[in-house]
Amino acid sequence: MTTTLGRRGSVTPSRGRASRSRRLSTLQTVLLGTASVLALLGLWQTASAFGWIPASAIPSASDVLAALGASLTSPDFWTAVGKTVTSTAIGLGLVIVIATPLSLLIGLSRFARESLLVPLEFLKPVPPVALIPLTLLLWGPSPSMQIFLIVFGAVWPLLTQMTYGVREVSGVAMQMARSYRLGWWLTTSRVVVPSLLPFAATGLRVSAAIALIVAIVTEMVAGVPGLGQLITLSQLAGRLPEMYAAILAAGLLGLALNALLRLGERGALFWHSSQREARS
Amino acid sequence: MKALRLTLLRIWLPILIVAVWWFASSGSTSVYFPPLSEILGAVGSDWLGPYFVQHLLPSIGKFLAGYLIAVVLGVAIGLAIGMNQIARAITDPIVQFLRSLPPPTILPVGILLFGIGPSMNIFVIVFGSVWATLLNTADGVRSVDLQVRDMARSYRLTTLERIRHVVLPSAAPQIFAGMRTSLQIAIILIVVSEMVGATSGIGYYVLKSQQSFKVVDTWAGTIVLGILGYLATLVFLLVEKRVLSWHAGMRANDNVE
Repeated sequence: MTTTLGRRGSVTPSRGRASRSRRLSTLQTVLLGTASVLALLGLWQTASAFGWIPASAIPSASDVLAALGASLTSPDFWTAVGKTVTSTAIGLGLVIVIATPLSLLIGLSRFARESLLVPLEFLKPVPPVALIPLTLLLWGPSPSMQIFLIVFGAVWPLLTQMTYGVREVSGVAMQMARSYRLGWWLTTSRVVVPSLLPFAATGLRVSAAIALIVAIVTEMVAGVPGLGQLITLSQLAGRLPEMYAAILAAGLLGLALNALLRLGERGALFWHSSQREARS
Repeated sequence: MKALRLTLLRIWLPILIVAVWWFASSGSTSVYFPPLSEILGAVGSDWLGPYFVQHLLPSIGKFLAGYLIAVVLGVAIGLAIGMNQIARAITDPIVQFLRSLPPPTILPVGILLFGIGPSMNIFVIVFGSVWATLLNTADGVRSVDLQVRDMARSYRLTTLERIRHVVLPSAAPQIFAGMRTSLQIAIILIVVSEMVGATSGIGYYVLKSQQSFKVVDTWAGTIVLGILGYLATLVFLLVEKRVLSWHAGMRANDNVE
């Protein structure tokens, strides 16, 4: 996004802009960003040292970073991360398996669209965490309960985006495909999928973020094993540096998941720069 | 006639689902699936009765306080970051990290800082839901049309005038898209934060009823939570439609969820 704007900005001839709002180079941006992270850590460390923030609530930065370092070499930590990642991935896989045919059905059949409108619009805003007690009652704190909740919470963004995408498939392109007698397979692979893909990518990214949130929250509240449970257990045991280390790890996991999906998106949609420019 | 057919098309499935549930569960002796009539009875007698004041109103109050603070903070900080490149470069890594942090992970931090109670619930909602609005505002502000921006400059609008008449209106659809995401996260957080750190509220009540194995109450509370989530989104969409009514035709595609 930044690069796009930068490119557009440099094309637009406006001498006043150059002097008034100087564009930062990539190097400057990276340097400023790094400096601010270091400054924040320094400030945190200083504040802890002088007792400005209660040590009973937030341990010092060095303690937390040391605990994070220790976690990274502990097999228990990686087992927990592995469980969270596995549930999230299975949940996302099911989301794709459910949302793809359903979006095609809704996008292509008016009967299905109108019939499903009320049930789906009612279920969509129901917070997945609201179902934690009920699913605990039915299945206990198990991975299947967790995966059910992940699917229930994360299916909507992908479904909404893809339904929208199906309806956006250009009528002209479809007619063209028909007059060229492309057949079902060529029409699907050359016309429908390419125009659907950008929408699917956007939806999947949002779905993934929600899937991770639901995975971790069920671990925290319901006691399903994983990174979220590690946070709760560390808190209950009063091991605060470990708790904050696990929270930092959850944030890094979120960043990694997002970066991975963006990378995949860039690979799959390299030809579709306009979509990326238009942003989700 | 056409309208009637459309209505029929839209309501046959919901009616069928409720009817099947009603009759399939009517003679149910299963502990886990009590008759729907009993569940709805509990919704009526409890949630439209004493729990309305005892659990429902506190939840709604905390939710509104947290969400509104998050939106105001998100738009204000988002404006500042979006309008200033240096501020953006400085805050970007931190904001990106906090945005990627699954919001429920800050629950224990909230409990340690504020103890069990409303201020903890509100803290968690604000801290968890502010990022979506903040980032979308910053993004929306940055993508204000360059010509419009130059025009505002040659008209010598003051910064405040620029924000009020140029930046905010042009970023509004994206700000609302961010607020919608914030809303969903805020709803999740009010429920979970009450489950782990409150002594009243609907989240607290539903988890409690599950732990004490009151199955009918768990079902009833879950249904009430679902309805609340639905109503919150409905109200949001109405507000958005009103505020963006002048915008809808111009950029119909911009704020599709």
